Amino acid sequence: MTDHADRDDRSAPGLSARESALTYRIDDGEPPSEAVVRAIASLTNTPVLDLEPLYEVVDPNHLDGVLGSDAPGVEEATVTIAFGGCRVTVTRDEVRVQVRTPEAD
Amino acid sequence: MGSEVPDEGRVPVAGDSPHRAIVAAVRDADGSLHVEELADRLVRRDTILVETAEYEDEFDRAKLELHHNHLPKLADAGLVEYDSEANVVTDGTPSASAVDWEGARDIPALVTELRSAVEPDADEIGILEGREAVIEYGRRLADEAEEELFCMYVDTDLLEEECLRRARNAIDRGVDMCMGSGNPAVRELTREELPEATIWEPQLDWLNRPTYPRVGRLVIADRRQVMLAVLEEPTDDGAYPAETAVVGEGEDNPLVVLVRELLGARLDHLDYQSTDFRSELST
Repeated sequence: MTDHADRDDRSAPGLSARESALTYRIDDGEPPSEAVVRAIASLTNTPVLDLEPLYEVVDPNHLDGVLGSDAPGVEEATVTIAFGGCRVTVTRDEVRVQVRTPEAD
Repeated sequence: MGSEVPDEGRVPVAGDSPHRAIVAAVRDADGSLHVEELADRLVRRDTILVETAEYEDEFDRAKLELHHNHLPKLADAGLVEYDSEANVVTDGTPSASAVDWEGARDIPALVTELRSAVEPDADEIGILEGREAVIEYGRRLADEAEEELFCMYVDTDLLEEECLRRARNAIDRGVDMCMGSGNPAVRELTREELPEATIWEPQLDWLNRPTYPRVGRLVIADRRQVMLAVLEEPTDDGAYPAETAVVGEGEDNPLVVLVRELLGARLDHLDYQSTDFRSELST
């Protein structure tokens, strides 16, 4: 699922050899919660079943309920969570993932 | 289901098909199941798969949703146990919600569908086990009927002396009594014991099935209380066959609605039909 994930060059200090951030565009019809999991799995190169369940951090239905809403007021909504060792920021259209490091925090 | 927000400590199970299907699949597996195996079963059950690519997508997605959403949620509700590191799911220890769900499992799918169409406080459906409990409930309905008592019995064995006496009392109170049976012996007994009762002969297949398990008795009081009892095949030892009944009360109760629908116009046109039937008898 890396085909539409654009790895960018903003590598955190100390992680020279590996990408430490990624922006994942959410497909039409793809629930935001699913996109979050796929983005983390892609960036950390971890199978989805080896990640801690997203439910332990946020109920995926709640996340999808907020960001999947068509209400105009939700267009600008951003949700940021800490999940899978990353800082994850989700909007309606994309997921931005940044590996959390002591320096970055 | 995307925006469904469960109440604190409660998970929508009976009306929520993914959760229900998951719990059923885990129970059917008796024991434990790896998430991939569970995802495979759910996907194969739900889709007619034409292309491998389609299966892979569905499987991949099911796996993700199970691990990241459904299984930890169902585990919170005590319906399954989920080891998220080993990715193994096992049947949960029975909890109050699991027991409620078990009861709902035996009800025909049609009733489940009707659930969504009725008031939530009117959808209680009970299960009665055993002949004694069924007879007792039937008597209660006869006693509580105010206007109409509509019955269907397949055999005189089921019509005990006491049942006839309660029916007699109901008729004496002014209740319209209808007795239906495909069995001539039942109709004959009713004619002798309850001459005021309207007698009808069911034409509906589901009331006349010759094979077991079959509907043994159906009692409807005032079109708002229903008991539908099903008989298992009789054994050779002469004991009464095992009997289980589904009961529901209230005009909008799904079982009551279902039975009214299944009987359809019969309930309303009974007089017309029975006149025919009676004149046929007298000739």
